[in-house]
Amino acid sequence: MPSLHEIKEGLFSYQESEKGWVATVRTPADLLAAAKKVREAGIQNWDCYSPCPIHGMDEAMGLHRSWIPFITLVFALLGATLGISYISYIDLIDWSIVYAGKPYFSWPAYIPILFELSVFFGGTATVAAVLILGKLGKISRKPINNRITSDGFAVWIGDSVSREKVQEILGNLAEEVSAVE
Amino acid sequence: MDSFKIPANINKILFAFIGIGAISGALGFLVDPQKAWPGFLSFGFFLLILSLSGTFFAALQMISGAKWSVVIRRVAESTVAALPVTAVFIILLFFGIHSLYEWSHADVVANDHILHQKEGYLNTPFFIARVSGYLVLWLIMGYLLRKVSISQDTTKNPETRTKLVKISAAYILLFAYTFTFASIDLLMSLQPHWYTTMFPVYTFAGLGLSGIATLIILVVTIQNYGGLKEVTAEHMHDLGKFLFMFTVFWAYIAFSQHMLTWYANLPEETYFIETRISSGFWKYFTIVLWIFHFLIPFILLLSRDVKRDGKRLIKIAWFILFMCFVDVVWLVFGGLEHDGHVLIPLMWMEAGLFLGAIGIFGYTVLQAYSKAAQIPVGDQNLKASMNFHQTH
Amino acid sequence: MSLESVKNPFHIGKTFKQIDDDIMRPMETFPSKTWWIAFLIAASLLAMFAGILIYSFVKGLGIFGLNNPVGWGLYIVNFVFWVGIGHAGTLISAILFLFRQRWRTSINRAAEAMTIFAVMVAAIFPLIHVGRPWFVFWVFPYPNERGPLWVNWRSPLLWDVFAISTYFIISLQFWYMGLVPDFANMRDRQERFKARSKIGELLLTVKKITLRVISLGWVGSAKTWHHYEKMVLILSALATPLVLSVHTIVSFDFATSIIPGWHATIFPPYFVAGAIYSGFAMVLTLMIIMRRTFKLEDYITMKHLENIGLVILVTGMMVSYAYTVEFVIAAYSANKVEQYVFMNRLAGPYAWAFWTMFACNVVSPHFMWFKKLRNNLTVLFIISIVVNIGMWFERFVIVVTSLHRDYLPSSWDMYVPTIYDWGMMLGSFGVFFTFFLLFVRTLPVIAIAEVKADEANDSLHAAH
Repeated sequence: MPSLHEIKEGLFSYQESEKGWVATVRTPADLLAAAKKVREAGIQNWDCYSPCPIHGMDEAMGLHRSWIPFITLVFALLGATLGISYISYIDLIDWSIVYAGKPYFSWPAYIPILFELSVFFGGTATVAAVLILGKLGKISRKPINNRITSDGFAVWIGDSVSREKVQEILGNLAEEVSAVE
Repeated sequence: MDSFKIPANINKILFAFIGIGAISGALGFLVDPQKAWPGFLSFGFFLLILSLSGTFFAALQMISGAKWSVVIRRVAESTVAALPVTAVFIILLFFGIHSLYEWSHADVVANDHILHQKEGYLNTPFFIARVSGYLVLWLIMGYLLRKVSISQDTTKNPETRTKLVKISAAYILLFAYTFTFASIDLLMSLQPHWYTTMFPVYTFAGLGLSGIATLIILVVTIQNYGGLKEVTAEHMHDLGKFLFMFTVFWAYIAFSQHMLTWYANLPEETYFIETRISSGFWKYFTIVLWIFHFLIPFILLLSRDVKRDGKRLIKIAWFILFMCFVDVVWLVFGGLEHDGHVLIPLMWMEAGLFLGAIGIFGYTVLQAYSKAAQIPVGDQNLKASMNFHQTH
Repeated sequence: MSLESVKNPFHIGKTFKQIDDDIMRPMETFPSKTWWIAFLIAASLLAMFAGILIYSFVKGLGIFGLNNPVGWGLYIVNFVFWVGIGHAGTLISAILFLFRQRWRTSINRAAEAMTIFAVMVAAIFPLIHVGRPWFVFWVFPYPNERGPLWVNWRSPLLWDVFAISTYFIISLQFWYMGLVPDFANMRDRQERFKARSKIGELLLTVKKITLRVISLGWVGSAKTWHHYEKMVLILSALATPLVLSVHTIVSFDFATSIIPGWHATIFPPYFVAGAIYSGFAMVLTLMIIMRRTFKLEDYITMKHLENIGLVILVTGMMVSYAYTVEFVIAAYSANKVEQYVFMNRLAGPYAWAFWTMFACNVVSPHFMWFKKLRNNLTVLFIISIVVNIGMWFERFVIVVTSLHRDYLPSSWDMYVPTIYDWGMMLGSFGVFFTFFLLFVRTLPVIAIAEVKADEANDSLHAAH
């Protein structure tokens, strides 16, 4: 289990302020290299943008292991627990009745439903978790430039760092460094 | 590439296991032959699924074109080396047909309408012929696969892979049908009135699960003694996933079979599960089986870290392997009766035979493994397999 | 930006911009004549479907061929058939993902769309089959005022309600979340379009706003991708047992009964294998048409189709294995009733259905052993259609032959589907294809971001 501190870190590891510098790079490999450099420079408020997930980006950026699996597990268990409680209440207390000569509490017959409920709760919670953790749903958000979702790769660094510093860190990896207001 | 040197202390342990197995087997036959035969059948069937599982795994990986598993392929192919000894034990079992199988008693068959109808299939000569036939086929196919694979080590011919794929496809097809009949003959006919269509799939699920557990144990043990350096945490992770998958698959098959039997409650079918869950010794045996065969390994294997750590994974694999043996005992003994009393296993004898099976299997397989290169050095996918890392 | 080619048979080797343009082309051009004709046919079949539906509400279920021993007819056949079709989509998006099968990326979007539409079509049939569809909400176990009156938790039909609705919702979420990065991509390329009229301008604005909303403010941040990728993995790990459970539970509808021919414990894995088999055949049919009409041959290559052919071969043999086990165990059982049912299938009044099934399901996949035939579009297309005919007949054989001769010979009867039964069956294809044709014109038929991810990965490996 992740500690409370780690959870907080995972949630609030960067504060997004639009102001800063954006450096475009040419290829996925360059983006990985750039991410590594920014991380080594010890910069806190920064992010990378790409049209697709890039393998190895998590390590390059030093991101924490996503704790979404725990959310899934907890909600899956919750779904099964709610299900079995509801079914038990109905079949044992509210409306006990014998069908097909089976006992009042026919646990083998409940397993399919409990399984479906845990998948339903677990899956839906996973999607909800991504929406929250990935900061999705805020439709006013705009990409750093229109090429990002098509074929652009870029590093964004908060304005606590000067433009010269950004250029120094990235060196010739950066195609172009521009300011975002 | 050096071949693997079997350390002396491993051989000592394995010989000790074989000794324990031999003594407990012999004692069992002295104490209570009525219970010793089913115990011996459990031992024979368990050894059989272990020695078949490796070839099956290797063939499956071959036809699916999987690259990650190339480094462990030689280990999987070596399990066929235990098959000749297993065949000897199965042949010894023929002497116990009369004690094990009700349908072999002429007087019972004469007075039992159903058995009378089944006589054309369930009779001693045909049984012996069928089982011998399966054994011969498995031996030929298993050794052929291993031989062709080893030949690639020196020839380095990439065409060999095409040939192996063809042999593997043929093997899997033949295996599916022969193993189906083997489980009907050896296990299902212990309760000769009983039948269900899922049974061969159930025994196959046990084969797959014990096979992966065996593979993990072999790979980690060989690594502990300095072999198989090419196997990394990435490969262990995939083996762990396979172990998890087969654990779930076994539970799925078991649930489907037992739930449907319980639900329909047909007199000719339902007593299989009823004798095992309604009361007494077998009730607790069954509960223990379901918890320890599925629930505990399932929870343990959810963790990613466990699957990547050979040291922890091998412990779970040993545990699962033992439970697979318990499952075979459950299948063999659960429905047996003697003079109107349910038959309860001797326990110590079965435990001893489990160690014996491990000893025989471990010794023969490691001997065979040490005779050839540790990994298929001539395979064109070897490099991809060595550099393999999890993408998700 | 161009990526160096590496030795991967599924590497496309185009620039990201080119990939966008290729895949979005069908959405950004006016539909062709072929599309309009296809759409008109599908839509009129849909209209026929709706017409028969309304007629059946007015007249009652009597217009269909159901009778006393055969209480489950073409409706249930179609239900199982369509649920089965749906399975391939989840299989491609989830199971092949877990098994790291690279070739899934080009086909998973369309296959998942197929899943969703197929499940929608499938759900219509039991809904009408309950007899009074306006009370169908009674299947949901909510506190009610009909006394303490609850659903039967022990009934496999109720398990179906839970399984199908969970399956539909999870598949929809999975599909939508997969579309979000592509929606963002569409959103960011709208500036290139200029309206030529007032109405056009209005439509364009509506489109822009819609895309803005449904892309959820996606900006391509690596921190979002980080969680997003984990979600794909987890949803795959959940969807894999889910998809198996759905057809397992469908098979429980039959197997929990005591009807010979229905009560077989092997049904769960056997139905799952059959579902994958027919689903992949349907994927093959759709992909062959789609790649041709939309010129996506670079993305959906012969190698993709060949792999689907191999899956059909393997699952076809699994289905054949299940048939064999059923017959072997019936022969072994020495149970008269059990044996009769299977003899009746082989040589009874519905033997034609059984042998059609046999020829289509058991014989035809074996053509896929040959590499030459696997690479022949015509052969693949024919096989894909033949397999689906076979799988439809498999369900027909299971449902009808098991019912029409039950324990009581005096009640034996034949089941003859009426023109309305056939109309519903044909109409269900209309419903499915109407949705599918709309899908191919409005959404990217290939998961663009996933294709790019694989391409980017190739370039990283090449750089090593």
